[in-house]
Amino acid sequence: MTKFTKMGKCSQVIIVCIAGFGISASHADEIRLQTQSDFGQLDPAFWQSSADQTIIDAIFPKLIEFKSGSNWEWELSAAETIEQIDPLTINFTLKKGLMWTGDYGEVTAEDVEYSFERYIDKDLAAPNSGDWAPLKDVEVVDKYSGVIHFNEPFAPVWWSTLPYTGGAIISKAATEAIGGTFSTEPGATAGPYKIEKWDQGQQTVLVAHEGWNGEKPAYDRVILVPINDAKSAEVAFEAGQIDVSGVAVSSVPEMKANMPVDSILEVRPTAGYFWLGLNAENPSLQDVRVRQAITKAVDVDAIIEGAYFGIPERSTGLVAPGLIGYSEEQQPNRDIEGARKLLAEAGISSLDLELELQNSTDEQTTGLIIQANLAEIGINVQLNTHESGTFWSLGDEKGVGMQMTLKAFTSPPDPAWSTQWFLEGQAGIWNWEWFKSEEYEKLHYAAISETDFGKRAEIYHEMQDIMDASHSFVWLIHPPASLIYKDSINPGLLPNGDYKLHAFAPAE
Amino acid sequence: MIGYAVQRIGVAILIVLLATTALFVMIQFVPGDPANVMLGPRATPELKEALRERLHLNDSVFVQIYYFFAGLLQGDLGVDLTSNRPVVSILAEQAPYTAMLVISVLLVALMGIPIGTYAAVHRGGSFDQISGVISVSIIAVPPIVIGLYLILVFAIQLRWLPAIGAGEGFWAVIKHLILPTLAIGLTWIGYVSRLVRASVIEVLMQNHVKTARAFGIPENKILRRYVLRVALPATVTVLGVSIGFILSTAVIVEILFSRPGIGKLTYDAVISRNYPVVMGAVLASTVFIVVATTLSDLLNVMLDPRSQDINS
Repeated sequence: MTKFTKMGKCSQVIIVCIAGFGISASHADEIRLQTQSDFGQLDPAFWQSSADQTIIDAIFPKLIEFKSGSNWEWELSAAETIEQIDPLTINFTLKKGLMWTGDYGEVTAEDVEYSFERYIDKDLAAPNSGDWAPLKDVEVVDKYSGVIHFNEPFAPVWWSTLPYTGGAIISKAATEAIGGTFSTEPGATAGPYKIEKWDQGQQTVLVAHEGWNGEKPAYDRVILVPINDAKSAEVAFEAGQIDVSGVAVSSVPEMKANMPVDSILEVRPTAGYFWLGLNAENPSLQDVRVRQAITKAVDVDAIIEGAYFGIPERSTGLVAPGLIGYSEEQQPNRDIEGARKLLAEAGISSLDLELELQNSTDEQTTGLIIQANLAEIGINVQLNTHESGTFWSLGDEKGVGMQMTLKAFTSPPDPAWSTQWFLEGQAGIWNWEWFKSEEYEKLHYAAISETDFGKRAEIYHEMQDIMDASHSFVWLIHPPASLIYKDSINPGLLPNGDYKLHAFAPAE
Repeated sequence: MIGYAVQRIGVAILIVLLATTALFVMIQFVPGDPANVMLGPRATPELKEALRERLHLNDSVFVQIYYFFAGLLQGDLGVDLTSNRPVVSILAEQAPYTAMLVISVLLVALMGIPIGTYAAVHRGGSFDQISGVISVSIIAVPPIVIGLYLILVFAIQLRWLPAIGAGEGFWAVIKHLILPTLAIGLTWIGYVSRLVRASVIEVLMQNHVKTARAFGIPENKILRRYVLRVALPATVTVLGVSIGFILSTAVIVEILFSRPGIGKLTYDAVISRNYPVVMGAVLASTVFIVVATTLSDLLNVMLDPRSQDINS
């Protein structure tokens, strides 16, 4: 044996020996999940990212919560009963025996009162105050019962407030003891899980909370691993280091063709929406015929095929499938001749426009397809690619100077959160189309107050029709959430692919 | 020697101050409002304005620099805009991961010394030729590509080593360090070996080595005492300077391997416009680089006192 062969053997043995220690595969009662980022804010009135949301939903109780599955339906959680008495009143009774961590005793109606009323506390200045904007107060009837009073009817309370992160209940005593607010270290928690350890940037370890009075979670420990690069997350999954991971849409076809062993791939539409926006205030796009020509010339099916591998369905508006107000009526199909005719009527033979977009692969491919589509009708498109921080500041930087933008918004499962960005007051802030419609404004507020499901759906259909009539929007897709997980796991997922940690269980 | 050390430390402090000030000025030109990023779309304009006031974002760059250095003197680098945690605490948690990575890369790079020396002594031999081809080939491959292949082979195919994270406990930490270290370090083994080979060949041809041979001193002793002692200072300087390159490569490698550390922290903070963290992380990196280059200069002077005159 030569010296080099010996050295080679030696290093191989060392690597194998080292590899034998500290293998990070999950134990039977433990599950490791990838999150896109680390959490940063656990105060429900201040949460920002989906990682914040995932942990808040696991460590704080809620009166009601969404069921895992493919439909947006809620079920009782900390509440034993809850009932809308009239459009301005909701009665609730808590289950007994739900305990806070530490020495803070039971979860009571006073905690509910404190948790919800702090949203409307001007001194707290919570960025998520909109979750409870019409709240008047919460009346404590006894230790376990209370009444939620509203100043005006508030339909989203059953969709994007109570069962969502805004419905999280925090401990009054524990929070007051730490000054009335917190970021990463709540005074006490009472959800199905509690935080055992947080190594910032590396992992968050949650363990089952012994004071939880609901169904015991199937996994005693949940380890959340922040990996923001989708490809790295896929690699970590394939290397067996995590059990559930997000998958880049671009990886889905390849993964389907070469599925890692004992794995399941799942793709779900989210409540978010991705569209091409045309700024009606920009001099080059003020003529509605020009905007209409662009909407006719863009080949949405080619974008879905070319940039998203045919995975998502074509979007019909800003309301995603499964949500109240979803419309099945698509925008008209591509019509190049019609587009040319409209441009000719507008007296335009050639036009230079700029398209602002982010630097992800799928958005850049979308931009290239739009560029090619519009070239066919004599519009030269310059693609301005930005990283996310720069892109989202364009409203301030460019103002009315913006012409076309590719934008994706996420949304809680209530259309009111989507429609609010296109109010006139949002022009230049988040409404980069400078879309303005008095009728739309009236309908937006009417829909929030409308507690009749059918009538509310009708209002949202009408609002989407008004948006389409402006020819400022080309609806593309509802960005899909793709996940891969081991087939030994039955994942606890909300309809949009978000984790519901205490619903994860071993597959039967 | 003491005077030289004092002079080097003075220069080091000046470099840190200038680099920090330059970064502060550059940040002013980066588009993107931290208040938007921190508070999200649902915050009211009043709330955003209050945050800008609290962070002194509405003040002139000079006022902001003043607040930064005033805080720095008290050991306060501000708070993370997302979690409200002190930046100093975050840096204290993250810096050891990067320090471990850099030190392990430097240790791996030292493997280039015996390789380069052996190749120089047996110049033109098969080891020299093979090591030459491998070294140059590895130098030409970017660390991210090496990292990807290492992951594919050792993490996915063989499942010997982890693809992500930093591990807990001594052995897990070592295990999690191997692939990131090799991703960066292999290039440096090649680079150092070529550098040492060239230096040793040059020294081997010098008169003092020929004289030592004429006196019948054994080759091993000549190599250790008369050749390497002269040839190595250049390598030490390169390794000192290389810390800057290793740190910049660590950003990519920490992202690729999802390792915590200053590099990943800086990247995430820049993306989210978390300026207090950006400033703290860059300050930590600058201090790290300046300390390393200063130490390498001092070590150089210890190995070869003549270099003190050249450096001065």
